[in-house]
Amino acid sequence: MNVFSQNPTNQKTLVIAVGNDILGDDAVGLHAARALRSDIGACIDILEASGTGFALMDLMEGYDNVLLIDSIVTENTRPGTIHQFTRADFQDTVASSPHYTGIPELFQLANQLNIPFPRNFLILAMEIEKDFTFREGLTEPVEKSLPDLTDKVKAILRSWNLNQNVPHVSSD
Amino acid sequence: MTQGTTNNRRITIDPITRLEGHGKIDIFLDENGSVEKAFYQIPELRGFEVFCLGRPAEEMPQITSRICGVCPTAHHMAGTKALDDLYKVTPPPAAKKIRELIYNTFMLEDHALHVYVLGGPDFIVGPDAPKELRNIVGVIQKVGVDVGKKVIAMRRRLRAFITYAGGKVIHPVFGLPGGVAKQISSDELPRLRELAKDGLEFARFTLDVFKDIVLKNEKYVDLITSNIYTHKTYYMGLVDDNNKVNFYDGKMRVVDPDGNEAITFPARDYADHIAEHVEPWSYVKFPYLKKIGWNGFTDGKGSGIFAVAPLARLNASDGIATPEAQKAYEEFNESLGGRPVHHTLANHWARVVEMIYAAERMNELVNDPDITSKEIRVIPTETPTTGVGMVEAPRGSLFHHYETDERGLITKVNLIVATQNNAGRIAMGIEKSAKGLIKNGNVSDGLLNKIEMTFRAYDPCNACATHSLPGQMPLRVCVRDKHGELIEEIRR
Repeated sequence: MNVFSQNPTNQKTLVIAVGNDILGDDAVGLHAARALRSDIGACIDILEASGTGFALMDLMEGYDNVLLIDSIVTENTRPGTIHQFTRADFQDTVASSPHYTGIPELFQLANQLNIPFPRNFLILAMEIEKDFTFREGLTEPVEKSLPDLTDKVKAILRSWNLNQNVPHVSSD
Repeated sequence: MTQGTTNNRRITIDPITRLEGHGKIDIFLDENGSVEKAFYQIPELRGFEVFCLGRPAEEMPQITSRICGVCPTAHHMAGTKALDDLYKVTPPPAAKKIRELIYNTFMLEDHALHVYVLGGPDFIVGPDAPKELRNIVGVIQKVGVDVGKKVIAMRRRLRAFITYAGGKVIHPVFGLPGGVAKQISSDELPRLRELAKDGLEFARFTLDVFKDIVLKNEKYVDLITSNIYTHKTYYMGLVDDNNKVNFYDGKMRVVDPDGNEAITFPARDYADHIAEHVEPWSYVKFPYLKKIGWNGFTDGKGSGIFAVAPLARLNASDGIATPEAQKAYEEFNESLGGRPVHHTLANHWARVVEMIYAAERMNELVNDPDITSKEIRVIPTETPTTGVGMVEAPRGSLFHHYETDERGLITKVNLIVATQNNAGRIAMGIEKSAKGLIKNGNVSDGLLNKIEMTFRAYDPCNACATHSLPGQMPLRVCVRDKHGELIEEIRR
């Protein structure tokens, strides 16, 4: 599963979804991962993670390309809106807190310790309502936008020159 | 994002992100620029009981382990023990030992994460160091790349064992009422013994690092023992029959601020001893000792506020059952003026002492002949009614209480989590350190970090979403003037 054998560039690619699957829309990334798995799971590693920032270190090591899918609350866009971030979007927050290890610190740490870490890294995050209520399932606007998220994931994977392995199949 | 500014000092609780562990501190200044009040707030988790109602009780160890991405193994274990009690079944010795082995591995790994990544940077890098260095990156710069590699590698190996034995590292699945799902293969023993041996070596090494960097630095020792980080409260922790620290099983013991035993109780009786106080400004219910009563946010024997977590565990015990940890325990107490130690920041040292214990206990268990036994489960036959389980999470005492109908479907759930048990003392600590550090309205990043250090010492876990979308801040500190107007805001 780990080897991207069909890939002419021999790059290892990972889609990693983070979220809590009993906290409603917080799980949108996990839902996307499950949808993607049946679609492209044979050629791309797809992981679901629910741990803290530091736990992502172990998961991302050794991959050339990592696409992280998540939910986000900006309160500036409608639920279901998909935001895209690069590492550069988080440079301002590098090393801002001793109590928190986020993506910027993980990349710095990997660099310090010569741990092989992704060259390509992107985040897709879907806007969700601010809600801390335990429940299963997604709200309507988020559920409706789920295919857009999975399509975007596939488009990004194709842009990473992995098009031989990512079918042009719409989830609609 | 709402800024939460108020004009009438009414506190608006306004979680701004969906990060794990995020919180908010509001500091109110008087007309002289001194601190009048300070509050620490965390977001409320709603609907957990409703979510659980009607579900089979056997699902609870899996469901509760999803509450939090930081300590799922603790919830899984407390839930599993609650199921033992619910179905009135005693697991066979091998099952208990396998559970304890997994649990101590988890404690060692989780404590190591705190020492090197979360709380340790305050000391290893220094509380006044530039903020861009007060993190794991700064730690590596200070201790060296080789040490950094050692920490990462050790943590990974410990997690690999939890994955092997526990099924899944994030959400373990090994616990069943009456036992565990999987035995430990004798083929695995050499690798496990090697891991336990290396784990102990790593814990010893960590104690040396702590001594070299923290304890040899007079300024740090002064900081640890300073009055602004000191509270004389009751302390709670799980102990064995000899009143020695135990993370997995035993009776709950509470000592008073003089170190005398005040209360002991089995899991079943927790509700007879712990009550919860409600404040209008916080979602958190503040647990206190029923026997003593709620007397406000005050220290002393007359206040029912108690602490949990590593310092509390060492205070609530008469020692540690393994030799090297016992030695470290004695050194800890002697150096800090004798048990009980009231200095909040001593939690960091206590955590390292506990790493030694966890590693020594791992060594004992991997060399126990029972550990590869096939007798790993007793099938429950009794009709379920009520079950209570308690363990020591890395962050302190954790209680799970379930009630079911005769089919085993959940009718009631109550959890008291470790950070909640510490809520009263954390609130007092934030206010005391803010009052001690902020004068004449002068607020600097270094000062605010020293206030944060108060609660960071407890390794608080306010996880709600187990989320960590990078780049957002898990903490907001707001300083307000006497009219409640926001004059300084720092986001972490």
